[in-house]
Amino acid sequence: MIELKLPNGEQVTAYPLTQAQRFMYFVFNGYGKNPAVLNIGTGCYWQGTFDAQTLREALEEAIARCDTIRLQFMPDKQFGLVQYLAPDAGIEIEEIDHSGMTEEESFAILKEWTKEGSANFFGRPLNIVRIMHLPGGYNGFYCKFHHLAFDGYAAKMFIADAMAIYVSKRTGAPYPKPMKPYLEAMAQELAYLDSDRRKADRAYWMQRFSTQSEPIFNDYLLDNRLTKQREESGDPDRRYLMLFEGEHPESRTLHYDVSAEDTQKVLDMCEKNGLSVPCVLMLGLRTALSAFNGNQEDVSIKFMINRRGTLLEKKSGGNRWHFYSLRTVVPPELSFADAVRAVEDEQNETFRHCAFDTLEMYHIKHMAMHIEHIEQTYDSLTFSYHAPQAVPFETEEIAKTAKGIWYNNDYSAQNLYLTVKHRLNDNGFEFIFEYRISENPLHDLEIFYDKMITAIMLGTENPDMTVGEILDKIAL
Amino acid sequence: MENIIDVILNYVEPDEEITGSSLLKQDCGLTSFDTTCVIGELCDSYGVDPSALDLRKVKTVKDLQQALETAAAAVAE
Repeated sequence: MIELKLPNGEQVTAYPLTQAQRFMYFVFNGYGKNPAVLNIGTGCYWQGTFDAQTLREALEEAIARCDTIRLQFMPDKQFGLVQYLAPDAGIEIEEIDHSGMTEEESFAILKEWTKEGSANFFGRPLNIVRIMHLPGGYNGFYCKFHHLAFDGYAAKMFIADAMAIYVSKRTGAPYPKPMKPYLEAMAQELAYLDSDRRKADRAYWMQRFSTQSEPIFNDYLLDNRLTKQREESGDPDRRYLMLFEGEHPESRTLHYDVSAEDTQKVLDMCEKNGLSVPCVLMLGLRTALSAFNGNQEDVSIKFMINRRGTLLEKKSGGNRWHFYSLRTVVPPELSFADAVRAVEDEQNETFRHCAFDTLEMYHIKHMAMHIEHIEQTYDSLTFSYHAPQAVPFETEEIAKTAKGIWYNNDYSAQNLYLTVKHRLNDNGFEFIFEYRISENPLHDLEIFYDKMITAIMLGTENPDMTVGEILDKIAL
Repeated sequence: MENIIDVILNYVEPDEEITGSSLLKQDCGLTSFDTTCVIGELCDSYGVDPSALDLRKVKTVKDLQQALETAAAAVAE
């Protein structure tokens, strides 16, 4: 820690960034380019009874209970960038009325708010909370959070806390339990850097990669880039793709909604067979990649781990995301259920060592595979699953109208990022592909999603069906 | 059993009291990540390797206790 004198003369205790924050900042500087990449825009809205004054009080209390909404950053000669908790969140909760607009007009404005930002975000409040009246009789609140202070989990935790306080005030339901101190969670993260556990994790990753064969890149584009690069380079055995993600970060999103009924079928199948929901989704994803790449058995994807285990980790906010490669080799004769278990084994193995720095893990992997550049990759896309987090509403009728909206900031640090989450009102899956416009992947992504969801639903209907049989049914 | 329940309560805030028959996922509310962390923490205190546990058979708190005790006994032998 260091004692930092702010431009206004105030003295604060500041700390280096955690590994997760350093990774996010690295990705922003190297690949995202636009400050909007560091913005998370989200909102929670509902129809029916709405009490703006009580919501304001609830939001003020939620802000007071949330440490990381006060987190600010300053450049530092020794550490590059340091973080500190400002005494005040610096948020004036405005109340804004869009009820006279069309849905499109209102949405466009909220998206613009989400895109606003400056690369010079140092020494000032970074987050916005606004009470909103939207078209169609929806009311609620919009939040813009800074990605060095919040990840998606922390953002949703703030929303759930604010809603629990609101519902408590409105109905007399129990007041939510306290949140946890960010500095304590951050101190644990920083202590890991100099721990025996980190040494053991490093040894694990070195051993793991040095004993592995080389993975292979699987494309989600039909015009296979690995095939092209093999031809161009004259190296027919090349297994990695040279993929520089630093240019043209402009992105858009492609949304697919799965019905509540079909989602429930997947959840019921997981419950009945003791399978993990994200692993079923990852199996669907890797099966689609396999289908796009000649039924390749060896498939790697990058997946996000939010690393929220203990209550301290769950309730202290911050950005804890680490990204790891998930490689599975699934022979066609394996049943869907057993293939999910293979994905789960790989996932759980990675969980045990996921405190280790993402960038360093990839560095170790590259060294083991004798490749030199960070742009050489075996993972064509990134996957993240957001498990349902309970957000309370005043009545069941109101809950049925609820909408949780994530506003894309229109810039992405990666070529393709698939997020799967659950809708607030009926728990159905939402698949959100955030893609780079420059790749022009829309046509291929539509086919890709169709293969992926078909594989998931076929396996859900019959978990004993083999992966080979599923591949036959989704063949291009 | 109490030490296991204490570790679990460091990860979740369930509405109901946790007992030996509580299901780790449904009753305790442990996610896959929570479960991996809980088992890692308990394996450290029992002196066993997580890979020594047959986790497919572990559904309840009591199953977890038995799996840990079986693995610890194997280490002792």
